Amino acid sequence: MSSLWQDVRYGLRMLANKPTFTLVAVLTLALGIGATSAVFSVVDRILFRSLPYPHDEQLVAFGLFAPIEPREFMLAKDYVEWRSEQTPFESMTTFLPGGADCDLTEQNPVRLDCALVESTFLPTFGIQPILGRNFTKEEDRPHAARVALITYGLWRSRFAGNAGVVGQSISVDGQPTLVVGVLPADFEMPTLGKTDLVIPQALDEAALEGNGPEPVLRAFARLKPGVSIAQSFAALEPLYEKSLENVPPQFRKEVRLSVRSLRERQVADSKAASWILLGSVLAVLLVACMNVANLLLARTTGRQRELAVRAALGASPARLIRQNLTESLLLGTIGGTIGCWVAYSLLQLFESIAPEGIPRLQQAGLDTRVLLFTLGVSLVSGILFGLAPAMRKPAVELLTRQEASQTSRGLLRQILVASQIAVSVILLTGAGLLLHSLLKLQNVPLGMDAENVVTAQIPLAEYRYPDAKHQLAFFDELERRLKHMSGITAMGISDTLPPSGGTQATIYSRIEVAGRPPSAEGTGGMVGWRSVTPGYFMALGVRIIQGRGFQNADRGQNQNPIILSETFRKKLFPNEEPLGKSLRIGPEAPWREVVGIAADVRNNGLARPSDPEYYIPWKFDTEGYFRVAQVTLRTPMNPETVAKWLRQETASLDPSVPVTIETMTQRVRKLSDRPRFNAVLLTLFAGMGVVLAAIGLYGVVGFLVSERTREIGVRMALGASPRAILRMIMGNVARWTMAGALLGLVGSWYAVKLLESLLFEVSVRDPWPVLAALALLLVAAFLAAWVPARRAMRVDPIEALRYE
Amino acid sequence: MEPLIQMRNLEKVYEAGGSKFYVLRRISLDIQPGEFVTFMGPSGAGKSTLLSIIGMLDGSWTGEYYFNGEPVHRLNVKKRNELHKANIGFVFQSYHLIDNLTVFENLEIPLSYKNVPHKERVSLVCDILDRFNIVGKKDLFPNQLSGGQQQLVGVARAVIQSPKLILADEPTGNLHSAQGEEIMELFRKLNEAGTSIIQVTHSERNAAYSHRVIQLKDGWVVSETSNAARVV
Ligand SMILES: Nc1ncnc2c1ncn2[C@@H]1O[C@H](COP(=O)(O)OP(=O)(O)OP(=O)(O)O)[C@@H](O)[C@H]1O
Ligand SMILES: [Mg+2]
Repeated sequence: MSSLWQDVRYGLRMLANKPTFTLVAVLTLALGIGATSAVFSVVDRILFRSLPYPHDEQLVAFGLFAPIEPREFMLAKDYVEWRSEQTPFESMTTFLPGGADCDLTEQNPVRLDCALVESTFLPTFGIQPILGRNFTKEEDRPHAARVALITYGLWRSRFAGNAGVVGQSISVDGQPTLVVGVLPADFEMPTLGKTDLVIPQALDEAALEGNGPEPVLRAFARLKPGVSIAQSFAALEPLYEKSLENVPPQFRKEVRLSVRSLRERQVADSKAASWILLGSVLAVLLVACMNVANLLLARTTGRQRELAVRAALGASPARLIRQNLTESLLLGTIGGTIGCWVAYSLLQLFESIAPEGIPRLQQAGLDTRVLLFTLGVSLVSGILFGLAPAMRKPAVELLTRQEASQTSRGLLRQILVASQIAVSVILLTGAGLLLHSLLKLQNVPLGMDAENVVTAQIPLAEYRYPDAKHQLAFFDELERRLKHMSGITAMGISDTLPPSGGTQATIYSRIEVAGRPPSAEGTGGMVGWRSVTPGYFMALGVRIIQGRGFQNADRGQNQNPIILSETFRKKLFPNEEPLGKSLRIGPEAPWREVVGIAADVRNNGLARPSDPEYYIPWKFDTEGYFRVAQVTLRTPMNPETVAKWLRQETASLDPSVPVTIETMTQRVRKLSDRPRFNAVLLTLFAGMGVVLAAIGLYGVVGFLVSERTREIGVRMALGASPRAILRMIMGNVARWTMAGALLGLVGSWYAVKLLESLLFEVSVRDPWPVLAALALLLVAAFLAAWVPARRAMRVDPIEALRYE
Repeated sequence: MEPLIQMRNLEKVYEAGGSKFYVLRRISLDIQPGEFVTFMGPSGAGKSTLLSIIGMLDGSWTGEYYFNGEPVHRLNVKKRNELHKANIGFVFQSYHLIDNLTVFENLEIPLSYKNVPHKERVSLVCDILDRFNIVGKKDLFPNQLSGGQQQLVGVARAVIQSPKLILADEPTGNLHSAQGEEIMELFRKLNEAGTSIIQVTHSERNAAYSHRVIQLKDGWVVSETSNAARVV
């Protein structure tokens, strides 16, 4: 033990004696370890950390996949049937997708997010209220007395953590509601949505017997112990076949059953990105370790004689290795400590780059788990970079020979640098691809003019505006007031806004053109639609390319015009004049006359192909949805000012209505948050890789020059000009730089395939990123080598040959 | 006949911390083509320094130095290097062969710096291997040779480009006497074939091979003795 302490003290002294070496090594490590820890803390919650439910590996999401919904769902009637007949699950549960807004209507009313769940929800997920109880099956019926569980956060913020709140009645949406329990602090919805209150979904199971529209549910279940997902899938299949009989035959082909783990459902689309980020940052760490290993190697070469003396004095090889490892572990720990700070700063940076870049980003932080990881990484890298130099045998024969042997060709060091270069080429290529893809994504034609547009989302509380009539009245009044504000060029109201998804939608085959037989096979895909006011097209800058836009007269009682998007027009009327044609959406709907064709607008997010789309006037319609409206203002004025006016005007109509204001450019930008996050991070890591590789190269070339000083002197005495010497050194550097670059090329050929799912309109075989990566790296390598190589030119042969 | 080397008032100074330290003082000497000259003197006398100046490795001195009629003191670095490359071969006390090159490759080095074409290079190296009787060693690395053999290669490397002048700084310093003698015999033969030689040595026996011994002390030339037995 005391000898270990001696090793530590000696190690610290060695580090203190070589401040430049120590500084470079520690900073390199801090960068590598810090970046790794930051990325780990981000992806940990996606890839590794267990979900906050006991035995989370038993939890699954199940349901049907169909074109009308991006995620699996269950129709209520099927669900009720499956629930009584299923065998693979210990229990099943559902909730209503999206939850609901609800207002806490006491003094200082606030808008909350309510989750509407089945009574089996908490037991299925294994969640225990920390106070009170779950609601019962009886309380989860229509017209039962209203009850609610409140989340920990709301309990602390609104009720000051007062235990007496359980059993109290609070007012939700103007109705007295009994608080029956408080949820634990780590509670989260399986869909990760923000939640303040959990209330019964109160599904009217009796009403399902009829033929009315059924609610769509999100279904989850806990597997019986020992049952696998595949087995549960097989067990559900007969039930699914039966449910399929209720689906119109022509659609059956487009529906499928799905059972997948809860984690898979939560993170499916960020898993690839998470692994890629983790892989890249580990590559950076590897480069950092190779750098430090290289520095240490250079130093041990300088310390050969000391080691030889120690060995001659009787130090066992194990003892010498331990001494060396102690030093590198010390370096690792110091690097790791500073790395924590680097990680902390990087996390802040990540969040500022793209707050919605990756799920749970806001929750990422340096908790114990991450710190333990950091410690582990520091120690492992300490061993990793310490091993190579430590394993070098002290050459006792050095002592007997006259001059110190300088035959060590530093082959290991050159291999290390070549590998660093290879890794950097791979990282750079990946970063190049993602950047190229991001660039394409950000330049996707939106089909509208997003500049100078302010948008406001205005949701009305259902209990205050119970039906379309009240809702429309509110928005009509708002429109009347806003329209005449000075400085507003155009103003529109609509139920949804491009370019994100979330239009209303219908299936193509429901659409009937007058004088044509209804289409026979399949759904024909989805068609999006929006109800919009006449100002909508102007406000968003959507061009009307044929016919006309909407007019105020279109909002009259018996007016049923329709405007088609260009793509939809091509699909419906490929070779016909569309204007004046009649069509209807479903057999009960009124016939509508095509009055205009609008330019295509991106409507499924930036990356996914757009759906065909049509517009109907913003006015009462049986299928219309008016509880939430999007107000769009085109204005050259400062968005802040406009936002203030908007809030004032809305508040003067109803102060309880919350308004979410964003400029259109902000909304569009958010849509590329994830690709931007990935691209910026990978670029950052590639940059780190290149810088580290350059430092490594600098060090190795410097070492090479000093190691070969004598040889250089001899060569000069034999007639070599300084240029010839420089050529020799640079030629040597070029050889292993090229070897590394070639290795990197081969590596990236395979590595980029992993990126495929993250790329938008860019092929992994796109040559530009690779070429740019190579060019950048070679320039960096050349510069890094040039400076120390020039020292070789200035070797003074007399000095070099002096010590004979 | 024009002297091969002509020096007038050559001086070399080291400046350390403001104080000047003369290593060579007012050196004036003439060396004729075909001469074999020895520099002797106590340690620190400036022998090696003078040798590097003659060999044009060192350019920081004052005075006049004509090599083969060329005013070295007026040449720029590049010209000086050219002159050195074309006319001078070095032999070192500790051989200074390059460790990771074979004997053959070591011999090739000076030729490569004179841009001798590959074919000619090979034939020159083969010639010299033959002349020095080391053909069998051509693929060995320096650490596989004895000290005497290494110095043999060192000398071969110095003469391969047929220099006018060979400079040897204690060429036998690391060798035992039999090996040393072998090298000295070699020098004598080279000298008889017309190559001028300047050596530094501490050994009277080695000095006896030369025509003239120049004694240096504290940077001054203190005496010159012609070797009666070997006057040109
Ligand atoms: N770079 C330098 N800075 C200061 N003084 C130097 C430097 N190089 C050589 N000297 C000094 O110049 C003097 C001459 O050195 P030189 O190597 O020529 O001696 P030498 O005659 O060859 O001695 P030896 O027989 O020991 O080889 C010595 O006193 C030495 O200390
Ligand atoms: Mg000397």
